[in-house]
Amino acid sequence: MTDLVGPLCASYTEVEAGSRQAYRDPIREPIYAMPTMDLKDYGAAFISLRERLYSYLFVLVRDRQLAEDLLQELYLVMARAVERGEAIHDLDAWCRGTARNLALHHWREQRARPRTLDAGLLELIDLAFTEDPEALRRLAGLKELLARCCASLSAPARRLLDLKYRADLAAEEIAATTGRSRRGVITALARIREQLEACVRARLPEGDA
Amino acid sequence: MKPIAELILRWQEDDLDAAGLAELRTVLGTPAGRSRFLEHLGLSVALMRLADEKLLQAPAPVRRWRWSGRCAAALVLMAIGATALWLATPPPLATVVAVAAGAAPDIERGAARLPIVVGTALRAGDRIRTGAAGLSLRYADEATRIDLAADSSLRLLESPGRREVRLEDGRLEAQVAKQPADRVLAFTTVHAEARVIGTRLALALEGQRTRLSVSEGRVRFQATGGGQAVEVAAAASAVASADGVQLEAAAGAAPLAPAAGCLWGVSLRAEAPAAAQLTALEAGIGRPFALVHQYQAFSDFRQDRPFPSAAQRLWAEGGRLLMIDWKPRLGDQPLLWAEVADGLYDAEYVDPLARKAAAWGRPFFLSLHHDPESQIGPAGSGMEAADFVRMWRHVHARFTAAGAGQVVWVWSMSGATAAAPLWNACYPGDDCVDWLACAAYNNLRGADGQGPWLSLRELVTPFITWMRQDFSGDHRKPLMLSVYACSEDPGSPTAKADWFRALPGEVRDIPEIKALIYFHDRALSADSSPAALAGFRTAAADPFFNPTPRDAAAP
Repeated sequence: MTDLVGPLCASYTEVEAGSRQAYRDPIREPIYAMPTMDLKDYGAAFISLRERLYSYLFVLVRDRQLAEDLLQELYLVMARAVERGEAIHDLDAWCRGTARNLALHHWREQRARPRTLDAGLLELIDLAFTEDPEALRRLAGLKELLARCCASLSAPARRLLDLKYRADLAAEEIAATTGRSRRGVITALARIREQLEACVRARLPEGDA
Repeated sequence: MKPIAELILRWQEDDLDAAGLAELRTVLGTPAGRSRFLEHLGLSVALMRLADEKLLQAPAPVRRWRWSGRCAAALVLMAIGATALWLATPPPLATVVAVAAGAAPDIERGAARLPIVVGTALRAGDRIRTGAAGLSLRYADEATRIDLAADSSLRLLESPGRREVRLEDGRLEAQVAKQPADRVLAFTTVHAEARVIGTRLALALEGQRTRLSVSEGRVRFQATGGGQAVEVAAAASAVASADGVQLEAAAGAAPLAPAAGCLWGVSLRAEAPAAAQLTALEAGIGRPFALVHQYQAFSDFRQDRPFPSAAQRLWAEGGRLLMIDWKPRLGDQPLLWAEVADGLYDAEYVDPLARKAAAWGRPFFLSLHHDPESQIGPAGSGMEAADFVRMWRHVHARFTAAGAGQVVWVWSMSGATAAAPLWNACYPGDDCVDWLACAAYNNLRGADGQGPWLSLRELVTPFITWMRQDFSGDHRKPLMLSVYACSEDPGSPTAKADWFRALPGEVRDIPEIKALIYFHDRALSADSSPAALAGFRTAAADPFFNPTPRDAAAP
């Protein structure tokens, strides 16, 4: 067989000869290597990490919708890696590394990476995710408790939270909607959050606070 | 020291100065600070989830009353009245989030006309008019944002399962959040409807037509009244008028790309006399091919070998375009990309072909090492993706230096799903790539009935998906199926013919495809059976595969 033929021709000829076992294109072999891992298992593990990975992406891209999109993208990248037979020993670390690349790719594309998101801070954030995996859920895990604390807030405070966390508006947009200054919105949100945290911690069972 | 919540919030708003940033670093420099950071983040995400469940909305105040019969009756009447009032006042659908300076926009709500300011709540049925400057609005319960230009008007409409933004005049741009499965968001004009799932688009009424430009995602664009529909992909645009809707050929501006339709090509076996193969197949389908493809190696273009060959020259003179898939090999021996990039083969192989191409002067397609993904080696092997890119750019530069600027460069990948993660790394850059290409083989293992039977659309989906979603940026490169083929289905003598007959419809739906080249080889041949040839002939006769010839001048 000359090399001046189609990209799959060698394999094709072997199929013609009736040898399915011989269907091995030496060129494409690395790509079509049989997966050694079960995608279903990885999928389940990914789902268990979903909220954690979403949080990581959100902190890097600062946009709810975009973080969701990148999370789906991350799953696809993982599925392709599993299909390729790539060894993923630490799924959490592997996914965070890939998520970080996706986020950085996004900022490169936008040519507008926030000036406050530098490599040093990224390292520290990554370290936070590595050394205290439970911290993310410490205050947020008790949904009913958090909901009760939210219910105790004033109506304007809840409206601010709603604009920030449901409508996903930037401080500037909230400022335009509510007639406050941008800095005033941030300060108010910070105070409301502190109030909420204090409420949750006060109601946590002994030893959890 | 600022409270940590404020510090993080300001950081997320990109609102920290150097001192604030240093403070944040100090916080994150300790394990306790990092834990606090994660707690803050966890709380943010939890609040998002609560907000999505509407648990952040203030409840109605509850008061205790001492009931009497009269009081209860009065309250019932009040409740009925309040309910009637509530029913007559639909909830806000969207909010105005920005109004440009100098604008005096207003809302037409029934018979009333109300001024618009930032924060104005918009309801279903409202007609919004901008004046000398535009405004931005955002849906209340989703992140969709619409920027309405000056001198424009739109109506916001809502019915069960459907939201509609009706552009009545002017222009809008929209960043559309992903829509829930049970709801449609449609942008409409008098000419057409653009139905979106999640995308960034611009819609403009231009006299007797509406133009839709999509910069992210995909939009189904349908003529008013349920007429013809097209799917408009990212970086593409379409126009709707009384004559229907039509995609605009953004990619058609590439060299040798037809403005509309698709080039019909064939790849010929290297071993058999190529001229005879071509003559026989063209007689069988009753038309000439627009494009003839051949695989060649570096060693085919030594100083003493002619280019183009006598047959290639003849085909070109007959109006056919030529495509060469050029592999860095000397006979059976593959060459290292890094060595080609370093110029080791310039004098003997690269420069001679570049000079001959320049002397010939005709544009032709040239692909350098098709399907490189599977040969990518480890670091230091000389076969890394970066080496492939370097090789490509080097060879391209040698051709340019030799005066062969008319060559049309086709970057050709395998198209296999598993190879997708490598494509971005292998891309040499817009400045030295004119077309993208991938392969599509149906039922390649079909001789023993094991291979999947897939439509052309299914076969190219991985590559198209990558082009639309992962190949970010405004590349606007047309796609060539540098080889596609279908084998016979032993269980169905007409399956291959049917597969061919479906081609025009399928390729029409994928506007990126501007050329396709059939791999006419042995059992994959287009004429592997009389039925197959008949199907191939039917497809070849479709006007879509007979585009009006474009000027083939040097790009």
